[in-house]
Amino acid sequence: MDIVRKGDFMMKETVSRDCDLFRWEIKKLWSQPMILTFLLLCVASQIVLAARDRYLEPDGDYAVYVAWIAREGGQRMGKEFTETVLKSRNRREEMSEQRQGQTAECRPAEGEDLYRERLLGETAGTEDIFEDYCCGQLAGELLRQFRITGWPARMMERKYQRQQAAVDLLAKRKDSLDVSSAGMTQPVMDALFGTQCRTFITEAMVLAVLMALSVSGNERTARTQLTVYATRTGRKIQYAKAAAGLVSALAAYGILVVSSLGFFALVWYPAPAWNASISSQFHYMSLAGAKLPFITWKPFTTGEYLLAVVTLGAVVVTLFYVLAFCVGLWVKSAWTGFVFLFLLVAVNFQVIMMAGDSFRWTLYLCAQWTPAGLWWLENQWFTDMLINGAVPWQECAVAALWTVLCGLMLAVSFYHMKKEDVC
Amino acid sequence: MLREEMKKIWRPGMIAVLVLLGFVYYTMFLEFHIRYFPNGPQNAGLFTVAAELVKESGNRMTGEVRQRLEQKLPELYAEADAYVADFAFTKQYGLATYEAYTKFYQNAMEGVAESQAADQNAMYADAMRLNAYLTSEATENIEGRIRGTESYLRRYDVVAGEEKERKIFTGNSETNGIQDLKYLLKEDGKPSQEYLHAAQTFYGEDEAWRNILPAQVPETTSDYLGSLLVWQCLSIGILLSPLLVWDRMSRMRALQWSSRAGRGIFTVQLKAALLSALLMNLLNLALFVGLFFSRGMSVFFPCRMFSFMDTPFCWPNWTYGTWCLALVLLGLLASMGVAAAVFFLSRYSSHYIGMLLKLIPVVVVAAVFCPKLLGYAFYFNNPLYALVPLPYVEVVAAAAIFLTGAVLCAGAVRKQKQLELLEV
Repeated sequence: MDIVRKGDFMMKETVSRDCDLFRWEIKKLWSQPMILTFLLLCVASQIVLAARDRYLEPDGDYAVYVAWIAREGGQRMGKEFTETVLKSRNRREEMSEQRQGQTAECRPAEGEDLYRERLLGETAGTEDIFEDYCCGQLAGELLRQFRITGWPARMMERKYQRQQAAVDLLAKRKDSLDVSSAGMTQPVMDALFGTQCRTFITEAMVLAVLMALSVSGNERTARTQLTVYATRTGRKIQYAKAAAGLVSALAAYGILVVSSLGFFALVWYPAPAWNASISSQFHYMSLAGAKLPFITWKPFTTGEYLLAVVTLGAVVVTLFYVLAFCVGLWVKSAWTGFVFLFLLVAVNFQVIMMAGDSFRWTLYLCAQWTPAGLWWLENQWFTDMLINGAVPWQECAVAALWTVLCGLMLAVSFYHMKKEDVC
Repeated sequence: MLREEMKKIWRPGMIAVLVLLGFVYYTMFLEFHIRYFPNGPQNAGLFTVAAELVKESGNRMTGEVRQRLEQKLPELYAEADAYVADFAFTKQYGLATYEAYTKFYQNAMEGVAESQAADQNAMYADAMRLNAYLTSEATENIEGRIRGTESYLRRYDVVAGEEKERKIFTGNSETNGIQDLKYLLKEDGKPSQEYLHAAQTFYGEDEAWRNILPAQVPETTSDYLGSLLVWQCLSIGILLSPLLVWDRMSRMRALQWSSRAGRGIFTVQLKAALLSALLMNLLNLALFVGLFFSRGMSVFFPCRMFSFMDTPFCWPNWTYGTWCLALVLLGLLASMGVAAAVFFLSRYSSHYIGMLLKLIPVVVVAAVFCPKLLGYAFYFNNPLYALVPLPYVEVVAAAAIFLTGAVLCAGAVRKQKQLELLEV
């Protein structure tokens, strides 16, 4: 009994010590003024970008108008929706006739008449684009235009065969008839996913890398590694550091997500339409000047798609953090580690570019299966990814593969660290 | 000591990293402007015709030059007729001349827009194939050359002809709005400073509009130099930032201050950093600007910045060569200011992570700002000028960056003498 009690006591002491170490490492990391300053700069840049997209976009108010109409008439285009648009004009005219002294609120705004006409023009008589949509035709066109042959061509054909099922489901649900923000859908989606999401994922990624290099190397920087490694915890302190750095990186990511999306929702209120299908016919992907429907492997609303992107973004941040932490354990200098990672990413993109230019599609597709490739294709996540994707749900497959690889790399790095000669 | 500090900056590993990154940056952001210039057969045709005009007739389009250009058209048509007659399926459609081809092409475009029938699609495909042939290297882009010649004659006639008073000052579909002076009028219809300057400088007695310079030349040049400036700032940042941080982390300061050089070491390091930045800039400029002008644009060096060939209006009317030199100097001024700022920031960084957290925002700001600084610099549609409508605002901006860096470094040098060793 005494031995069991002593074992319990020692385990509690170990856990308590580890929690303390974890807490102190977080405190050490966040006590660097530049970390907070950098985070604040990132938040400020997100706010500036959101404001720029909203207020410098000439038709930003049209998106807001469409959202107000969609609140009354629903998202689905058709007879009912058109009637709602027409009724909104008649109601205003009635109101202005009924009241003797017209106030500014009753008088139909000049711009609204133009918006109404535009909305009617964009939504009247629209058809479901997925009803006769043939994925095989698109596949054939892509393979011909980009001269894709061999193994990549077979993979893409199989991918588009599987996409047909997703398209049929979208056709059954008539998702392409969701109005979303009508003609302003693409600019709003570009502002949300192309600018805001891409920027906060990139900023969090960079911060995660720097945090990882900082925590893994701060004992070396402060020249305290001999002292620290001689303690009871010893080299196991790196476990607490890894955990503390990861939690800090994800916390920074959370702050960026909340501040960016919060401000975005504020300036675009009440647009975008979170309940509208992400595969509305007004939302598309561009390739070589052609507009192609935005088809996801499973139907998403805009809100659900955003959640999925934010979740996968957290995985990307984690992958980069772990990679940087591993590099930090192996190299003696944070500067060397950063330059090494920067070069890896640069060379990755170089390979993608050169492979694409020379039509070497096997190499091109393989080069997309990296964390950098995953990050770069953020605006095509959960879709077929056009010529960048070889398999369905490729982004999830890449994330899963690299999670396993990073786990292995981390285990090897920890093992290396235990054997390393600190002198 | 200066040499020793330079050796610390120009380490072999650092040079290798910069060479590799430079190669990647070039292929990703700069090569496009060189490999695909002129961009497309139409632009290639406009460029070729303009370059030939300059070589044969100088850099002004007078009535005589216009006549000589017009006399070339029948030769070009005859050349095109031969290519059309020679092509595989033209007999099937009864095409023997260039004129017949243009009608065939137009019919094919209109036909496929109206109907997707198999025969229309086939005709459209054949028209595209013939067009591709006539714009290929095999025919020396005869289609582009003909269209370029016709376009320049048309534009010249619009500007020089009797309709000049009406069209240049009131609007002209031919000029696509870029050279319409009416858009420079204020809301109340009164002439703005830009209107007065353009009307006097380009459409005055000198007839400066007669100058020959295709619009794509200044556009591509300023885009390329803007992208190059981003690389200059990035490479300087990577090169200079570790210097002071490494000294601080190695606790070299006490050793350095107790040497004969004393606190003056900081000034030596500053000189070494600025000299290295200048050297880096010169290497980048020599390599990348040299590559850029290997595409034949140097033929336009004696031509003026503004031309009836659809260039935007500009404040100075220097030669293209002088304008390029001005852009390079602007870039040098801005990048040296960035170098000084990076050196200053590294002085207050106790470790590499802190330095990187300062360097990354500087590089991001440079990446956003530099293309705006040099994009169509000194022209009315420069993005900075759109924000601050001050003539030569680009010079003010570059000088401001340079002065900011200089003041920061001067302050740091002065403070160095008053610092406690323990504070370093």
